[in-house]
Amino acid sequence: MRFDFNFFFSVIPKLVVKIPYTMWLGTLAFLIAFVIAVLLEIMYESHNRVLRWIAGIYISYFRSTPYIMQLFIFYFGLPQMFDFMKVVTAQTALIVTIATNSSAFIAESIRGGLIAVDKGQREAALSIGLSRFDLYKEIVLPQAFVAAFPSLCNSYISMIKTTALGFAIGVIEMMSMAKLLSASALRFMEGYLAVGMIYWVLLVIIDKILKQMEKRICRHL
Amino acid sequence: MIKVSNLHKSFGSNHVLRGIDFQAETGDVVVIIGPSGMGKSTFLRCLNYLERPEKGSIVIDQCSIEPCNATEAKIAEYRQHTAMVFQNYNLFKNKTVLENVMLPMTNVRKIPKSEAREKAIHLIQKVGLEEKIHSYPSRLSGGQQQRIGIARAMAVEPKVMLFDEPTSSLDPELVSEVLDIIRTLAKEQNKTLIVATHEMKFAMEVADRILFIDEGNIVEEGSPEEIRKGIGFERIRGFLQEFM
Repeated sequence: MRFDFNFFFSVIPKLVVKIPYTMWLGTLAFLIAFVIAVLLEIMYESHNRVLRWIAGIYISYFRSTPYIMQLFIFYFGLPQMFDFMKVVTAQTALIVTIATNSSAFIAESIRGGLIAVDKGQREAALSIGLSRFDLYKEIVLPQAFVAAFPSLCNSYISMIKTTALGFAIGVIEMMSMAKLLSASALRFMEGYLAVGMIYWVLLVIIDKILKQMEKRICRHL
Repeated sequence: MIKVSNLHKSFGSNHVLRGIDFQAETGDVVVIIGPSGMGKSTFLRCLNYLERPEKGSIVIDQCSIEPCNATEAKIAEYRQHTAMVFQNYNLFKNKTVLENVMLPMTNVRKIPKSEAREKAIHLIQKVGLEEKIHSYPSRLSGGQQQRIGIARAMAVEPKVMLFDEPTSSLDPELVSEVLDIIRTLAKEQNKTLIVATHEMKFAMEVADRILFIDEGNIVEEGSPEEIRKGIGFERIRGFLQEFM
């Protein structure tokens, strides 16, 4: 079988129109993950042993089980047990699974960022009489964000790629689209190569943009 | 006026401060010397309540604090009477020089921004760094950072200023610019300065009183005059000879 360039070029526009949807899925999941991660980190650092324990189990579960299993449990498993889960759409299941999984990793990035703010600055803030709230708002969080930024970018990029798991539960994002188009024409190499190239170019561009941002926000530290 | 009575602090089984009694008036310049690791730093940090002593009271004018009444609010109130200059400067790296100096005024003393800005600029001029006003700490030399550290401490308008070995991490050629500023402050006589340092010449020159702390207590204490002439200052003299 020869490589069908006509088909290869003809699927590209059909896939490119899915870029905004893929980006939207990944970005929304990232924002939700970030919020969960902050809560996890607060629980993890709290003095309450039960909260620490819950956060620990949560992080351990999502870090140590396969993505696809988490997705299937959420989308196929839980609705069998709980009726209210039956209304959950595939799209919601995908976003929630990516967000909950990544939040475990992002929580660790946030912790790294917080650790990066040296004790001396915290003491200086207290010594001038700053409240604990202001200490975090003015000094610790802005610097922790900068320190965590590169690893947050990595999480974001990997989350955009992970939206491709949507094919497994019927969310028609870019990867599913490639699968459908390839299967209907029985042109798998062309279809998957096309989607691969699009992911590649897209993520290289996003990476470049994030690196520029990183340079800007890290310049003072 | 600051009055410290029977101050105790331990780290685990290490009894670092063993009942320090101390008093100084407004305008006094008190220099603390002594071997490393014998409690100078801990003493200053307790005076700022960065370390919580186990026992003993500290009174600055009307404000009295001791471990049993030291709630978070009380500590915050007490800290407004003191300010600390750190060995490692500890400037806020995400803030410009101006913002570093403004922060105690805008966020602690709740002075309106425009007024705080004016006062901050005045303080920065005082330490001679008005051309660096919009720079970030990472663009400053160690000596410049420490001068801003002093300006930030002054922005608290404290009654007692604490200097924890302010020149120890500076290159030798940068020490004098920082000492010059402390000297100027010492002449103003409107606050109590407590300085832990190894700069003995400087100590003998600016101090009203020199304390020698060893094994968690003030072992000897006297004015530079008394130390130069009098007898009974073997520890201080020995220390001076070693460092001068």
